[in-house]
Amino acid sequence: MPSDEARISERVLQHIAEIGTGECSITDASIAAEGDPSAQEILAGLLMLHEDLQYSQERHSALLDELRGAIRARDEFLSVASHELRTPITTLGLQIDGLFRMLQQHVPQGQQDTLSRRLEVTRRQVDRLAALVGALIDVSRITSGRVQLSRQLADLVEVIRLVLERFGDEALRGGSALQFARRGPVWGNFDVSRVDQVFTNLLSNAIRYGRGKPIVVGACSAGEMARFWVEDQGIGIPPEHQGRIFQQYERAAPSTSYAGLGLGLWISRQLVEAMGGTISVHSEVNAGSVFTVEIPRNG
Amino acid sequence: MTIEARPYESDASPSERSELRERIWRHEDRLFIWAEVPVQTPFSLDVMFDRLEELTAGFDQFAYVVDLSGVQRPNARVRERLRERVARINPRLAHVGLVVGGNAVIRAVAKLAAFSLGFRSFSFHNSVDQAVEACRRALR
Repeated sequence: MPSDEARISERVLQHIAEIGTGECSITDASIAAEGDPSAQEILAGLLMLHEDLQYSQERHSALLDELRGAIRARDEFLSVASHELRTPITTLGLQIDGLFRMLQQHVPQGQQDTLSRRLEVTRRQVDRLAALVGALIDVSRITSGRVQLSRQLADLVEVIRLVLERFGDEALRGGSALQFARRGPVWGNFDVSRVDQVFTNLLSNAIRYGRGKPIVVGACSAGEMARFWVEDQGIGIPPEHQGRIFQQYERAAPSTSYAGLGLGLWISRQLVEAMGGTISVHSEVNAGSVFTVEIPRNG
Repeated sequence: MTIEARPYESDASPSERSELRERIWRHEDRLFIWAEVPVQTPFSLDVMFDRLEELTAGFDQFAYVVDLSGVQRPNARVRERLRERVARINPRLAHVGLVVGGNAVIRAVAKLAAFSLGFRSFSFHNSVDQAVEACRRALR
């Protein structure tokens, strides 16, 4: 026969093991049936510990549900708001195009300059607004798993060349010369609009943070993969921020000095990953950053 | 009307609330008695602690006797609220005399609860008279 102490000890260990699995067979009756007051206290303590653990889990679970609900509500709001905003912005863009045409047709040549400059500024702001709303629509699509890829045979070098053409003026305004180190053509089945979007994001970041220094972009084949990169000589990213810049609403640069929602790199990463690729950064503070994207050529 | 052995929640009637409040009274000087309800709930605790705080307002130090005889074991939700409410009065609490009667389970639970509530001075008794005496000694 084991001693009382050994029996209690064994029972306590059994209950501890039980509580570890989320169960507890201790009851008020079994506590009362235990003759030794010390054993009663230990059993009551284990029962309360089990109840506290269960209660804590229930509360965490309820909080988690509440948080998920809040995130769902936020995403729904973003989705509805961004789609609602897109329509008037598109109309605004069309109106500006119409005003440009009217300006050229009806205003004498000598008086066009000031109006034209003002319209150009307005168009840039509308484009910026459209880009922000586009980012919100992307966030809503990505978070609800509604990103659909539409692949077609295309030359990556050509996709990049077109973006560079589009960015010529903006780079000039920022003072950065654009250099294209191509080794191509780089043919593959790409979602051209999404590749364009990712490259556009990387290039606009390079112009924004590049301190007016030259920007080198490149594209090449790397076996089964297609690679493109954007290299600036700008402010760089401190090592401690490099891990989080691809996360939602995260920014390495202070928002007081640089505008933006902190969504561009997150969207880029999500799109690149949806294409089966990777995006990475190598950066040194005050020396610049290189963002490299690799995507399958036949994804 | 007397308080029944059932949980009282926020839908309690005015007379039930009043009866809950009346289960706490001043016994003498800075010594109070708390006759606990059979089934504690966060609501009953709030009503009764509010009453205790009213009665002890202005006292730097006080003691109270809690009569737990006939009380069911409090659940985790109740214990959590108990911790929150005790924390508010604990700095002024000179002693708590817990009357646990002959119920072994309540005795064990009360002891554990007293530790987790952070009472600085407490004792267990079989009768209210003994608990009152222990509180008087602590207040001297």
